Amino acid sequence: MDYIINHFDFFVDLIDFQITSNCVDFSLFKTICGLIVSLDQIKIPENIVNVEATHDKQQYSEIFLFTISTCMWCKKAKRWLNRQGFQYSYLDIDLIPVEDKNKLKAEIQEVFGVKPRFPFLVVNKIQWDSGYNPDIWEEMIN
Amino acid sequence: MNKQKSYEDVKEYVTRISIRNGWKLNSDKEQLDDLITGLQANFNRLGYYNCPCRDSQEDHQLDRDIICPCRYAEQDIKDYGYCYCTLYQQLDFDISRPLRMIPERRP
Ligand code: SF4
Repeated sequence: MDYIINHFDFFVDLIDFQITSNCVDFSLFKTICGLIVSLDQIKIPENIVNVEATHDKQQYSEIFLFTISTCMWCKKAKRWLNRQGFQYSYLDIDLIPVEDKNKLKAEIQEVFGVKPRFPFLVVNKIQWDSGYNPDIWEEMIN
Repeated sequence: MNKQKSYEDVKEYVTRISIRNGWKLNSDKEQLDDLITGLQANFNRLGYYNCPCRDSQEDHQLDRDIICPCRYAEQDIKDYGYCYCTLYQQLDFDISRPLRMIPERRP
């Protein structure tokens, strides 16, 4: 799994090459997709909040944020995303039943291989960052 | 059912804690406000001052190490100049220093 993550660009290029040269090897594609960690592998409760973009630039990244509603760092994170004008979705994990929350945290840990701390950012379903690190986020998102 | 705490009650509580421990409160108005309202929400929902920046198990016993001031605050303030949430800071902490999230000490 780490190998795929570390060589993600290589695999993207490989798939890109196969598509452009019209010789797609679907078995390879499926293997890679099966190994790549993704937010889709996590069952997210329905209390998601969607925030609309406030700028009219094209946004290529899909942004999801797990937060705690009372957390100062999470509030900073939401304000930072708002200031950038990004469209994003978030889930305040402390506002869902504790059993669901524990299940969710366990799934995040299993899928992304890290014990999450909050805010926990996921970009394009596969890239993640644990904690509030706007310098890193800027690179991840742009 | 615990008596609900007002913003002022919480502010008084954290001020008292900071004085007792020889710390000072975060001087950024917006951050302090976020932290006090976070603690207030936690107290009024859970009945205790669960750390606003950490996830609760909604069980006083299980959360006892992260009831504010948490078990990790003293060491964090010594090592980094402020606690995990930045609420409490070393008296001589240079407020022009940018605040970054410090490592989580909780196991
Ligand atoms: S990190 Fe700071 S605000 Fe959070 S519980 Fe510890 S002392 Fe309180």
